[in-house]
Amino acid sequence: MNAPLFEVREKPRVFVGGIRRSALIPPVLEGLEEEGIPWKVRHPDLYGLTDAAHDLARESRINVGLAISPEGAVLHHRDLPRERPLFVLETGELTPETLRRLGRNTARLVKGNPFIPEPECKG
Amino acid sequence: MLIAGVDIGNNSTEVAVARTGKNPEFLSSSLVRTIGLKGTLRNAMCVIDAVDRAMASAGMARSDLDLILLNKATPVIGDVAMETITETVITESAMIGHDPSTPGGLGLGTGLTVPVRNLDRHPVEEPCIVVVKNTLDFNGAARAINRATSRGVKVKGAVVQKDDGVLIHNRLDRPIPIVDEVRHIDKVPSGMPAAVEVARVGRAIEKLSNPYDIATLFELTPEETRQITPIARALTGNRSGVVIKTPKGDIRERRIPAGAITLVGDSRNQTVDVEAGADEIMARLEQVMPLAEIKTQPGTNAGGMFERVRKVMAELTDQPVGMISIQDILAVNTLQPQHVLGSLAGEFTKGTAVGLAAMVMTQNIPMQRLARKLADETRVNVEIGGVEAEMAVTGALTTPGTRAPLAILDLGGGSTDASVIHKDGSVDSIHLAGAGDMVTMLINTELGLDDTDLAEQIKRHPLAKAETLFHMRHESGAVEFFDTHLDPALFGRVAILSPSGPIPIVKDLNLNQIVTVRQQAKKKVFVANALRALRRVAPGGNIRLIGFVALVGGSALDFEIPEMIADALAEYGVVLGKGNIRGCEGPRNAVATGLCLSRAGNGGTP
Repeated sequence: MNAPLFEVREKPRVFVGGIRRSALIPPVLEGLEEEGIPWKVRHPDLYGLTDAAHDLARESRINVGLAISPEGAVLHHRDLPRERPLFVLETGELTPETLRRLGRNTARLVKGNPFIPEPECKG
Repeated sequence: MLIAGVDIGNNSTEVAVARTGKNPEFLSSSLVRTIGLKGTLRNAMCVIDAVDRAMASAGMARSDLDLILLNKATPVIGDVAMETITETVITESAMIGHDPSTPGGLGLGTGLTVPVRNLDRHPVEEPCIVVVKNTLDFNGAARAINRATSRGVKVKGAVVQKDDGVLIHNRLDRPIPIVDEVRHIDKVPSGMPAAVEVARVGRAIEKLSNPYDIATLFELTPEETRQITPIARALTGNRSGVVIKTPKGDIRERRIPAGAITLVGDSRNQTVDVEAGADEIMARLEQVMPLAEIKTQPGTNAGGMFERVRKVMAELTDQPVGMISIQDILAVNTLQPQHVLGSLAGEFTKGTAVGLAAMVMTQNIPMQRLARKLADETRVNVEIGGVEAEMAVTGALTTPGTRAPLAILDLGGGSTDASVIHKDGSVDSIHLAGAGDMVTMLINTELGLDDTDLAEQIKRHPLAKAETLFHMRHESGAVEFFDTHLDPALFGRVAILSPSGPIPIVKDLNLNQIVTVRQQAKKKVFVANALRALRRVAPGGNIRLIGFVALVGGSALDFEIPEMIADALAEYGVVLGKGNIRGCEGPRNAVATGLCLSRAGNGGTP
């Protein structure tokens, strides 16, 4: 798909790939917004989440891509080997809290800040 | 005659193998970890191991040896403790100063605190600061605030429990400063005058860190202004802050009684409170020198440490605890990150603390039992050799470029030792409290690590920060690129460049901060002790009269300590550097070499 010329003048953004109107996307975008990093939602074929995330990362001018579906969530970077994404959330871990944290950590990857770790489990 | 000189140290046991004659010929050396306390029977195992290794690398067998010579160990036991002398207490929620990473908005706002659920009823003329609990999401909070502002309510700022500062602000019709991530928001009182300030990215607040601006905003009397000064200090350097004026609210620095130490000298005594600080303690120590004993109060950290040190020595030498006296202490001022008691968002502040090191010494341990055991096991003659300090300088003198008067500084883990060999061959020596273990404790305390192993690693190796997945910037500024990507655990973090690979530091600490703490800790201990030690052994206390100083021991191998000491001693015109025993061993093997030399030649060097 050829990108129209005018997109060259837009600011660099993280690309977030997901199913249209999926409830999983907004928490991730909130995390990105809170950390101040611009994003753009795309709706590619989510054939394999890791592949999709890597393709999105290669298209993003900040080199970071996220792919989210009910099967899970993957954070990828253009310079990482395709089969080795940075973070993967499994299907059972897709809560609003973990998705918001994933968004914040995506922003931190862009900013070069340390990631927010998972809170320790209690009990 | 083939001799093995054996030096059993606190941390390592070293061996040198030499053939006697007019020009003694050194054949090999070895180094192993010491097992058990120096001078005890448990050492036999590691001594035999070290001897065997040295003989093997000389291509010979243990049975070829004619004599094993042990050093007359001067046992020195050192220990360290930290005494906190101030802590910070907030009463009645007067301040929020935890510095969240993403506050919202910009500027200063003042008003009465109002819970967001009461905003619809809030009178229009009264400026307010909205308080938002985590029961309301950012959309709801933004809508409520916008409703109020469209009514004409003067909303001047907000305090929010969740990390929603930017999310809320992006949806507001009118910009306001917002401080978020306030964990204990239920402690924020309603209807109280409050001020919220947020600075730009990379900047710090200007009003709430100034007592006179706080006085202006809250119309304080001079007395009240004096009382809120700790608040201004605590908020200095933060990107955001909140101050709430409650009837009894304030933030106080409380002094913690840390007990007194009585320094007993030969002719004078001095009693000093630990709270008076390290400089005062060390000044009094100078007045009392030489030290005969130290008395402390039970129930304090310092008291406990002094007792521990005595007990260990008593067990080692089979003497009653009452007979053991502490010969030296080193006190160092330090800062300790502490939770502010009564804080609203988990604020930290730096409390003052005093680090203490103590040292006990005894003449010598009867090494006979160890010597007999070694003789039995190895079937080689075993004898006890000369005094450790003399052997050390004798060995150090094999460093090319040295001559008497030569002083050595042995920078160990538990104590800093100095010996000097004068032109006439006589030797003076001294042991001081405060060495590698104290440096580790200071690093551990000042960075709030609560992890001695991590502190030890920070002490030993330089740092770097992973800036992207493919490059690290070293603390020196140099950039290193990698062919394959770095472990995500390292990303954005400061890492310790240990020989076995980079170790990420999980605590959110700035690289320059860690470097400063590390370097200051080394200076406060080793530079201070280098000067103290050399003054005591120098002729007439004049360091200039020592021509040459060599650094030996484990910490002499540290990547920055030798330069620090050299810098500090530059003004005295001495030649100073790491020793190079026999021109090939570096700062190691001085005592083992000295032992061989003491028997090897025709009298050898004294």
